[in-house]
Amino acid sequence: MERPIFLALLIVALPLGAFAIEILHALIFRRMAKWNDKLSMAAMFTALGCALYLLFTEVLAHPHGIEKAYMGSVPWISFGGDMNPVRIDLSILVDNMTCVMLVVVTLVSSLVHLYSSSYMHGEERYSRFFSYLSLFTFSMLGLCIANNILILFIFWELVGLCSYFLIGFYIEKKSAGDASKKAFITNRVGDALFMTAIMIVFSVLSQSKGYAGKDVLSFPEIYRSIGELGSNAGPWVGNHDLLVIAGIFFFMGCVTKSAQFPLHIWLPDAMEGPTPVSALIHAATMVAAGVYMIVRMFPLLVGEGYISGDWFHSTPLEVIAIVGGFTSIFAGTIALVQNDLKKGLAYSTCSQLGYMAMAVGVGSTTGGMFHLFTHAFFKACLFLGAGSVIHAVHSQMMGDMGGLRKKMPITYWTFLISTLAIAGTPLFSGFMSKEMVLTSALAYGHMHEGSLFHSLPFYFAAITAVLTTFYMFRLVFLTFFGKGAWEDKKHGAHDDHAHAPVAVYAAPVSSPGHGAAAHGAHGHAPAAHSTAAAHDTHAAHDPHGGTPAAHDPHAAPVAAHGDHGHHGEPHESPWQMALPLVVLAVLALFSSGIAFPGLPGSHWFEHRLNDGVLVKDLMTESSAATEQTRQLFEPMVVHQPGEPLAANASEIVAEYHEAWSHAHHTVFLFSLCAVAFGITAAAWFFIRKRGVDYVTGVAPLRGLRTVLSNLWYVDAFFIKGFVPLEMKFNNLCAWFDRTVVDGIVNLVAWIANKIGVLAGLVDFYGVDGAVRGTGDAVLEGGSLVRKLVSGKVQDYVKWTVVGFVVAVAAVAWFGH
Amino acid sequence: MLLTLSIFIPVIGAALLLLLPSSQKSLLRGVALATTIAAFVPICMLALGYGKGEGEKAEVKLAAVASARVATITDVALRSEVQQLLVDPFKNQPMNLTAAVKDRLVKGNAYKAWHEAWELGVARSTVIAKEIRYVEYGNWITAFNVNYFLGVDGISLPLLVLAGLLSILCIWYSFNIEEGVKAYMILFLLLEAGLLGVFCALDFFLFYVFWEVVLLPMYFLIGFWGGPRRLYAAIKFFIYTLAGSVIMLVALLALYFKDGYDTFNVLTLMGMAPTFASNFQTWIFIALFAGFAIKVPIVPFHTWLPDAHVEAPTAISMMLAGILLKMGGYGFFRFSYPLAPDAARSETFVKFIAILGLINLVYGALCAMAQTDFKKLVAYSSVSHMGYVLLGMAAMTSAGFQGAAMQMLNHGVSSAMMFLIVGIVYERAHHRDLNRFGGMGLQMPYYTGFAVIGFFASLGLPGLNGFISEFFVFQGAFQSEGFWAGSSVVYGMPRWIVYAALPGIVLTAAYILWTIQRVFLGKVTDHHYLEFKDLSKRETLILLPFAFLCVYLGVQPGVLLNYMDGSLKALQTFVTTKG
Amino acid sequence: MGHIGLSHYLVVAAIMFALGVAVVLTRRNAIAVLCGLELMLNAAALNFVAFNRFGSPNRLDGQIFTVFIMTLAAAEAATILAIVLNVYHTLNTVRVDEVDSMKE
Repeated sequence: MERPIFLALLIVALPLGAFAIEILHALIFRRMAKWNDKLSMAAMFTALGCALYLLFTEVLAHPHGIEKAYMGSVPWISFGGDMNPVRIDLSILVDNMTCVMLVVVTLVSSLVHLYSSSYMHGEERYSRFFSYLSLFTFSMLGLCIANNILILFIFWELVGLCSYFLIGFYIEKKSAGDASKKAFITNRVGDALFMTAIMIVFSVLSQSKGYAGKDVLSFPEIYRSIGELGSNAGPWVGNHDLLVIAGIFFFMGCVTKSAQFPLHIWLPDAMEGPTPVSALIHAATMVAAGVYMIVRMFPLLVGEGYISGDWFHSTPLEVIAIVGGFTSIFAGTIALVQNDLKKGLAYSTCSQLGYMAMAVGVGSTTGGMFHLFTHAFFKACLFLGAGSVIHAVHSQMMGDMGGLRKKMPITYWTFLISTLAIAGTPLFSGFMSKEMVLTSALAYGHMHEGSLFHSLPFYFAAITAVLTTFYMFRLVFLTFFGKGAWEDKKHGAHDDHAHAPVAVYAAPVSSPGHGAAAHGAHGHAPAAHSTAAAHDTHAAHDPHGGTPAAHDPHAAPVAAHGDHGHHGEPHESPWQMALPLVVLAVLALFSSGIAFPGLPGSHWFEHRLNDGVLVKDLMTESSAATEQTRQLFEPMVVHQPGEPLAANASEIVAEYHEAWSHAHHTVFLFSLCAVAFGITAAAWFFIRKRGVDYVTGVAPLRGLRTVLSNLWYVDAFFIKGFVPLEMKFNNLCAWFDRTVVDGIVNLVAWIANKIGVLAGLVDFYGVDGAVRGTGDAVLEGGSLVRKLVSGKVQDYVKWTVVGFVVAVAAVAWFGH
Repeated sequence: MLLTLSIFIPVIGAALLLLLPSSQKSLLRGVALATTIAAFVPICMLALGYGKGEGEKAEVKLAAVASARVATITDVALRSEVQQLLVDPFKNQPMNLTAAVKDRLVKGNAYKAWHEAWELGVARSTVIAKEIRYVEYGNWITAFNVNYFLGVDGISLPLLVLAGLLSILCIWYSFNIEEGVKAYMILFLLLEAGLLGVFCALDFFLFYVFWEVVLLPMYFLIGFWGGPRRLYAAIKFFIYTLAGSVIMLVALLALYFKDGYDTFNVLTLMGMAPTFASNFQTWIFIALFAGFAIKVPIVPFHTWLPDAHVEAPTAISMMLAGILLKMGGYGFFRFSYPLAPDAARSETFVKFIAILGLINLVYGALCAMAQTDFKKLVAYSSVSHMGYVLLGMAAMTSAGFQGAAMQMLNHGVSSAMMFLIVGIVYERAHHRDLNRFGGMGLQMPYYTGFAVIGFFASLGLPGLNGFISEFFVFQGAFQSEGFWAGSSVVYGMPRWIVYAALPGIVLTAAYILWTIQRVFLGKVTDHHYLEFKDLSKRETLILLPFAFLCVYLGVQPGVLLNYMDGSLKALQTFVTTKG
Repeated sequence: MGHIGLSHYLVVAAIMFALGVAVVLTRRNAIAVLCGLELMLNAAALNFVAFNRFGSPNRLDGQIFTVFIMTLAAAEAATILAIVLNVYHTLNTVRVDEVDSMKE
């Protein structure tokens, strides 16, 4: 086994091992171990070390990273013989993208583990949290190293499962349960379509000669089939429509996982989970899985483009570009009016995911991956910072914040750095990735001169860039600047009562007798109930409330924090929380190298992640690959101004390179302006006073506010429209089953019963009647005959004589 | 020998129980449990041996028996004539014999011997027969050519293992029955004997006997130890199933009397099946369908299931869902498809079965969503999951068959586990109203852990067993249209059916998650629940094998798939080739 | 008067028999029934004698038979009278239509 393969397996196995040990302990001893957190953290940091080692030795050591990807496989499922073979192997892929993803996931996960050891401290189910984290990390890592789309799908769903557990971590809360259920079911919709795409690929490939008996769902085989398409051979010839459908369905999987419109609805509700979960799963990793998957499936998405010779005209990619672009602007507008810090960040994530998807849609997989990479770090930093703030002020609403700049310096500075990164400020990492995304979008627009449809992605992205800066800085200013709300609050609001454990048992209204007296241990029940209620009413009264506040109950008075002697004054977080913030902020600064074009080190990512390195390698193995096919991937290579083109580059490639150069400059200037404008506008609106949302002040926008606050009614459509309708349908079906179908059975039984009764009657009166009638007749006859026997001798003699005479007469008449 | 042992050990156990006094409950329970374990031992040996390739092959054994029969013909000339005839059993069928030959045979007392040898000659020639091992053969009712013919292959053996295992676990769980323990245990053991017999009988008459044997103990078990509407449920179950079986009997007899075959030997009939007229095959398929469809259950013949499941005691529900429903699916695999191959692969019936599977899937899920009784919900989810089996079968592809066969086993495990979960909470709460439950996760976390495994396995989460079968069923069904596109013989299942079945996946997730939320999440909704104890040792040990299987079969399904591969390949080859 | 042949005797005997049957069937007194019975018997005896005289004159079969009949008649009359006496003792009547205890 080659070392990278071994390392990759080890990295994946470490969190799995931690999880397995923790679960076994729970199985045998019926409770979670106390050392879960330490075990999980140890496993994660070790994995991080391995991942960094892998990155440095394989990727960074060479100018183009891993030239030839490492692959390994083990047979898993195989049946069907020669007639109808089905074969799926457990196969691993380690290439540049894998190494990068491994580092991202392990790094963010380790930091979140560390952060959680302080943030979740005192929680009742603290240990369980870490086992869930381990399971999640294992699943995400497995997803990253999978070389087979079905194996990826398996880990994809496992990641969804962990998300379900973690969002619904606070199982006492109904809202958490609802949110986790919503997340899983929404994801299931996408997964069903994702699975269909897998089935399409499998069906088409396994029927083709040359693929029989092979593991057709592995990436090399899929790429090979697309490569063959370039020379008009292979299984996809004549299955053009299936290819398009498969591409779109793969994207549908991404739509739900990466929260694109219209299946993004689960992401804001996912903020019900603890903040570290939001940071890990819903910012840095799980939601990135969708983008990762479509990048891996990129050749298939391009597929149609090979037929036409122009890869820009692939239907799936066009869909992706538009949907991604629309999502970014859609989510961006909603983020403008969020008053809940976490929700605001959630919509920001949604918007950035739109960016990533759009980047892939316009052909720049490097752009998408790069933005994923930088986004992971600064978004995680933002969320963890938000957690730090929430931890300090015990509330998620920005109305309760303000002026925290002085009180929480580390949090403030890291948050600011990350915000600058997300805004795309030069020198910060987000700048390079955003620039790449915007450039590719603009180049894409230029390639299709005059086509509004193809220019839309860029317009969406551009507007979003401005919006992003604006709303992100709004968050910063409302949270850290101005006068703090905590300065006004009395200490009494959060008294010792508040530190009682959240009641396990919701005191029923109908039995007031069961109060503190009856249940000693739950004596705090009414009190905690009322404080929780107080918080709820507080949230409900917020006139600007967008969605009902996703209450991280950590904000509610939950378990006692040992280091929390006083409440009124927010203060900086302990080192376990601060350190991750710092690390992530540093990465937010430097992860893309020095983020200014022309400076050394600024293009390390793109050089190693040259789009299609893997694909090019794999496709050169196929004898059907042609020069043209290889060149078709050229445009995706980042072209630096001044770099010469390959001598035999095709026309499209040349055209694209030119478009890119033009776009490059435009975008650079635009980014600078957007950032500057955004920061100034936000500062002007929001720094003066705290808490008040100046957007409301402007009357004509009030209607817009309402629409935005109601999330463009998408949620309402699903929850108030679709779901109740669907439930009515369910009830109809059940009624139908009970009354109609079963009714028919019961009717049949009733008819059978009545026929039986009828038969009984027929039997009794008819058949038996005949029998009895016969008997009666005989009796009647008998009594008639009985009269002959009168007992009188003379009668006997009379009859004898008569008989004799008759006999003689008969003989005389008929005889002789 | 092993098969007979495993079938009759429960009978012996039941007989033993008859002798014991009914007051000694623990003794009765102990003996019953020991009996089921004792019956499981030969099954395990069978399973291990089959995997290694051991076990007396049908080919070999039947040939031996045939030659023994021929050897009983005393007249040497006649014997050699018979041997000549047997060289090509297909050409020399009973109806093809000339009157003179027949006369000679009858006069020389050799007809019976020839007939049996002919039967066995045809029987061992089929592709399917080549996979059957651990054969046991003996004459039973010679006047009607009924033989005691048992054998297992890759399809029936896992079901046997499941039946044996479920019996052990269900009897163990039945320790909580307090009244009429003796009668309960005896009836249960008879039920087990019948079940084991059903899965290994290769003589149609014998199969029918065992099939009917299963009905009566079930009737009493539901009727006496069940819930409030038990009498209605029991009689409904009994008569509904019996009605189907009677129609099946017609098919049985039709095959017996066809063309002078005079045989109940299923393998022989399979061998002759390709020669049946299409029309005849259609009727056979329909008649057999009537019997099996009610058991599967196929909508709209499913309405006995919710009532039976809800009213039956927990252990009986587990048996019912876990293994009795599989009798229907097994019937399709073993009897319907090979005996009527033309019909099975024709457009009408492929579409018919596929659409019924689709309806089962989606309609079952929709009805499940609307239930407020926990057990009824699980019952409808059973209906929904058996839809996968039908879809897989109609596909006629290897993935389809594997998925369907595996789904039968997976569903047996996960569904039984779900009923157990329901039973555990019912024992404590004495109601099953989903709207009244809440907060079990807080009160009984250990139990919730197991419940989550069971529910997610049922949902088809990758990593657990349900996903593998679900994926392969869909894959096989999807592939069917393309795979059989060029075939003039087999009709590939139309793809739109698969597309239409996809909402079923989402619906399944919806009702399962909603149920989990209603029962396990949230705050504890009734102060009575605060007194619930978490799982007892016995309950844990019963849940463990289920949980283990759910995870193991999800991670390493190859174990099972390879096992069944040979037989399913043989079945696929047999059904899809024009004979 | 012509020659008195067999037919004359037979007719007389037939008339006597018919009268005897009539008496048996219609008279209510048991003794009267007995008288009718005697008449019937004697009619039969007359037949025998007539046939003997005209059919086989050389033989004595008819005559012997007549003696039998007369003996039997006497015995029978004695028996019947004994029965009638008994019946009169138990049932207190000699009317035939009142003795019907053997009816069904």
